[in-house]
Amino acid sequence: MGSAVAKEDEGQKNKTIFIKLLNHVQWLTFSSKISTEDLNDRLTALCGQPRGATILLKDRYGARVAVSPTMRTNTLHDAFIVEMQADRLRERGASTANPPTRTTGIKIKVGRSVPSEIKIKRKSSNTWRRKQTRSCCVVTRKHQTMADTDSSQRVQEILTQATEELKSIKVPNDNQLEYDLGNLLVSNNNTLDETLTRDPEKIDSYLHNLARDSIQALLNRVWELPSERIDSDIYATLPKPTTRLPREKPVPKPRPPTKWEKYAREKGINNRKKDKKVWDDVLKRWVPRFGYRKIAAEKEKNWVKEVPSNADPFEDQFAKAAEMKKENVAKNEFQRLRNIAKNKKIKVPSVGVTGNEYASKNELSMAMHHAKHATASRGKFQPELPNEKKVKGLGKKRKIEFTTGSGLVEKKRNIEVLEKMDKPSLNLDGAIHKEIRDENVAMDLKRKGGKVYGRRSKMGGRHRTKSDHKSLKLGTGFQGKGKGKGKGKGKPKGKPNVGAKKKIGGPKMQGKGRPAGKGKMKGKGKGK
Amino acid sequence: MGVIQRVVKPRNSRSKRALEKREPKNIENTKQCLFFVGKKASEEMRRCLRDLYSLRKHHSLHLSRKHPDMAPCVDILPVERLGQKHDASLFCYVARTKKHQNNMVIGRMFNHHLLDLIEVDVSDFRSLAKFNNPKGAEGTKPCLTFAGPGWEDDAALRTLKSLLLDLFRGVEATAVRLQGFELALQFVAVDSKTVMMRGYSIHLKKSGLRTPRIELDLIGPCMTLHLQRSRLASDDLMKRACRQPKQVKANRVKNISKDVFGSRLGRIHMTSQDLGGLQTRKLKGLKKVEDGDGADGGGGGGGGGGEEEQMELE
Repeated sequence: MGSAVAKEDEGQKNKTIFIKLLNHVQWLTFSSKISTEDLNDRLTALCGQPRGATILLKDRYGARVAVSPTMRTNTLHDAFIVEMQADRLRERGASTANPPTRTTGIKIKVGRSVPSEIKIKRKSSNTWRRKQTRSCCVVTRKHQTMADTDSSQRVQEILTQATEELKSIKVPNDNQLEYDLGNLLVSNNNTLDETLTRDPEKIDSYLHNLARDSIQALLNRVWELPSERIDSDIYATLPKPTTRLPREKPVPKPRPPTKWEKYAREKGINNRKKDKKVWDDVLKRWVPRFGYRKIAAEKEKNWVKEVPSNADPFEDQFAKAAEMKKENVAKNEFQRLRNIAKNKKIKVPSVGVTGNEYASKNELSMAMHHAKHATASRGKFQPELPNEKKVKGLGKKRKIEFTTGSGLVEKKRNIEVLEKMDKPSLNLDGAIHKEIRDENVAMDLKRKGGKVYGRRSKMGGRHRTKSDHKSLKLGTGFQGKGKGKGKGKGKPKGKPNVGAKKKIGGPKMQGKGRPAGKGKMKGKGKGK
Repeated sequence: MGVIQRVVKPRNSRSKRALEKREPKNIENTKQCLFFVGKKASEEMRRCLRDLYSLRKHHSLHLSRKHPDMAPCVDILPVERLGQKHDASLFCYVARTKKHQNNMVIGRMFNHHLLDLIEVDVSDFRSLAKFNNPKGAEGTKPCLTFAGPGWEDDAALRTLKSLLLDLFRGVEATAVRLQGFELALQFVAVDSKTVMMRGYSIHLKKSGLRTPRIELDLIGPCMTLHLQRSRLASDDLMKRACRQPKQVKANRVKNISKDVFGSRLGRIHMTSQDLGGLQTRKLKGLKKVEDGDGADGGGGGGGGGGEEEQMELE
């Protein structure tokens, strides 16, 4: 464009100024007759700024240089420095915290910084400007390297700052925390910041940060643990927890030896491993030691049983053998349970039957009664509790008489029964009434016509008048033998059953805990 | 006749298994926790109980009925009976008393008898429901953090720490999936009588390294616990409760010892060797003569062997 050395062209009065940009120096030639706006436009175009932007120029001593057509010219060495305004800098996002001493003025964008070699190359392509360019190159290279290191440094700074802010996993003071990885527990024993804990507005964020740091420290440690890959997931193997927590239940004691085990240990009897199958000489084959096949084999062998000489010939030996086996099994089970009971310190009687777990009221009172009677005077002088009730169901229930011997007692009793019955042997009134009635019937019949039958009528049954028939049909009135329900002979109507014990067959049974339904059901209306 | 305490003989295998489950074992089951309400409790406290129950969803029982006669600090027997019935050794009880509106009792039992319990007053409760962010799955093992010097110094706080650990740690895990960290619980002892609880969800972010960056998100429940009465276990009871069975302890290494110089020695047990029957070089001169001259049978150089041998190990 112009020559290296600034000069004022006589003819056109062109001016050339040198402006130091990012990596290199640019020169700008303009006529002194152009307007300030035009000059500004050209400057902004040169700097790569939008047209309306204000470009500030400074000389190398820092003095401000006005942009105008009448501005002074300079040399390459004395190039003007483009200075961006501070707010524009901030807009672009470049930090103004540590402004470099030589303001480059343009935001450092990562990736835009071009290494110095390339710049040189570009310059040297203009061969017709070789002389100048070479010297330019020399100069620019010097300028370039200085600028480059500066900017690259800044780039690095910003990069590292960014990575640290966003993705740091470092936690300060993580040595001071206590870790229990087995429980995923981290304890921070440092004192808390009192000013923050007391402030209800700031406490949430303070606790949040505290928690974040602690959990980060914990998980840093967890990620360092040995891990394995199962399917598509990675699992870290946790160590055993270090914090001692109390157990739920006490440590189990080893099972104490049974009676047999103690004896065996004493005598030195060792348990020998038995085979599953045993050779049977009779059957000439291997028979299992236990199980259904064993039972089948036994049946095969013992199809006949000898009756021993001292035994009853009508006794069923097979049934006897089966019974023995049952008893053996029961005995074994009893001994096993007794062993368990001994271990649990439950007392079991050596003789007799163990009773029910929960005794009924009657059972308990019976027990009391027996206890009382087990004294020298048969319980006569035993003191009683205030509300103690006597036991029901004691004593004989029924006296059974002899079937042989004289029948005098029975005869006497039967007569007594008969005497106790309310109806007398001769019912005079009844007989009189009956006679009167018969006469009335006969007279009726005579009046109305019809045969008068005797007591034994042809019709059969009792003598009946018309009115009788009518009442028969309707079902009221006189009802003969066989009709009606359960009115047995001689049972008086309307006599209340005073003092009778109502026995309603059903669940409420007296006596020793017999279950419902097994007791005798006594029908209604049959007397006691 | 008499009433005899019966040996309970299970009728079928199912009942047998149920009985075996309740027996003391070397390696125990995870503790069951009972969450129940006392005579009266405010809506907020009931929600608080529900939130704590959901943090320990597995291995806990939320009893729906109210228990008006319960007062664990006064009479512990009904609670012990409940624990025995449900085979639970932790409990969390919420009630309203005259002095405290928001009373909560956390306790644990050893062998169905009280070990220790702490009564707290709950304030500034913020429920899980109040926070609208997504919460992790139920039953995840949380990361626990305790902050503040009081957790080590104060006896009541030490017990509370142990209780909270028992309550919230979940299952004792041998391995944990690295992507599965979802819940973090923080307990801060502001002073010796006040504890703040916060619940966060964990988000794992990229960090450029293998270990991720942790970000926490407050999800609740948040509450402040003020310590009231406490019944701490006596030293010997605690000792007895913490006793571990031998089988759980590490295996001893046998037959390896160190000598004075620090070198590791091992022990090998050999069967007895018949030295007369060893195959050796035969030297004519040492051959046994028939008329019974002294010379020893066998050649030179019999092997070293004896019943035992001490050999140097690397």
